Amino acid sequence: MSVLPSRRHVGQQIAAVGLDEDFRRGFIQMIPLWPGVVAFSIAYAIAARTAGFGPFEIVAMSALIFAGSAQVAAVALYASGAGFIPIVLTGLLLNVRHIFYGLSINRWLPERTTPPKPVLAFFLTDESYGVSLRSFVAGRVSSLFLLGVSISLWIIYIPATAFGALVGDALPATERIGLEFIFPLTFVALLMPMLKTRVDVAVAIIAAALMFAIDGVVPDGASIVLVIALAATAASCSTALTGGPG
Amino acid sequence: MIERAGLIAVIALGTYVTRVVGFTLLNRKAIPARLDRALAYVPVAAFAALIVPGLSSDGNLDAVRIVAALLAAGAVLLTRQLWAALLTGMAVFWLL
Repeated sequence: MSVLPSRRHVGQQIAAVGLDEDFRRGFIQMIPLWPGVVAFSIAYAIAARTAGFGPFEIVAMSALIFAGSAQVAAVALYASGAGFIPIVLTGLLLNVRHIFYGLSINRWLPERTTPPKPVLAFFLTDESYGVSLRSFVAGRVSSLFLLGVSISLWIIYIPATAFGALVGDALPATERIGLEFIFPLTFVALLMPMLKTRVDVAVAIIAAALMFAIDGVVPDGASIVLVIALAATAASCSTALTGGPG
Repeated sequence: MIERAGLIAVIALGTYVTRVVGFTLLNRKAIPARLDRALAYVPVAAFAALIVPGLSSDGNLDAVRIVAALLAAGAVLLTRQLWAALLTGMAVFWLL
C-alpha cells in the first residue's frame, strides 16, 4: 500500500505508457490458465449442443454471461425441461459470490478508475478477482491490471466456445485429459502467499472444512456464499476481540 | 428460439447485477469498520473454498489430486509464480 501514492502519481504523469504496461502484465499472467479455459469451453459447448442450443446462442452465452458454472447449469436445466424462472434463479444463485468479490476488490481501488467500475465489473470472475487481488496485496494496485486479467480470460473463452460448438462432437472427451484441474490449482497458488497470520491459516482451514462438509448438501453457489460469509465474519470477530490486524 | 434468447438475456443481466453491486453499491468510505474487517478475509476464505470441489473425482476425495495440490502449494511458496504451481500440479496429476 505504501507504494500506491507514488505509483498513481507516476501513472498520471507518464499517462498511457505505464497504464498499457499494467494491462499487458495482467493479460500475460492469465495465459497459464488458458488450457483450462479451452478444455472447459469445449465441455460446456458440447453440453449446450446436446441440450439443443445453436452455435450462435452458445457463443452469445459465453460472451454475455461469461460465467461458466451458470452456463453449464442453464443448459443442463434447459435440457431437463426446467422452466424459465428456475433456470434464471439457479444462474443467479451460482453468481451471488460475485457480490463478495466486488466488495472485496473495491476496497483496493480508488473512487474513479480507468476504465470505469461498471466496465470492470462486467468481466469479474473467480480467476480475475483472485489474480488481481494477489497483485494488489503485493503492492501493485491497478485497475488496468484487473482489466488485462479479465480480457485475457474473455478473449480466449469466446473462440474456444465457438470451436467447441462447431467441432466439439468430433473431439475426444476433454474431461479425460483433466485440464480443468488447472482451476483448483490456481486457487491453491493464490491462497498460499496470502496465509501470513495465524488468523489467515485458521480462516483457510475453516473455509475448506466447511466447504467439504456442505458441498453437495447445499445447492452449488449457496455453499460458497455461506462459507465466505461465515469464515470472514468469524475472522473479523476474532480479530476485533484480540485487537489483531484486520 | 425466442425463449432461449430471452433466457440468455435475463441470465446475462442478472449475472451482471451480481458483479456490479459490490463495485458500486457501497461507497468505500461508507463501509462500516466491522464489514471492512470481514471483507479483508474474503480472499482467503474464497480461495480455500474454491479449491475443495476440485479435489474430488466422482464425489469422492481423490488422493492424486490432493498430492498434486500439495506439491503445487510447495512450488508456489518456492517460486512465487502461478505458472510454476500449475505446471507442477498438472505434471503430478498426469504422472501419478
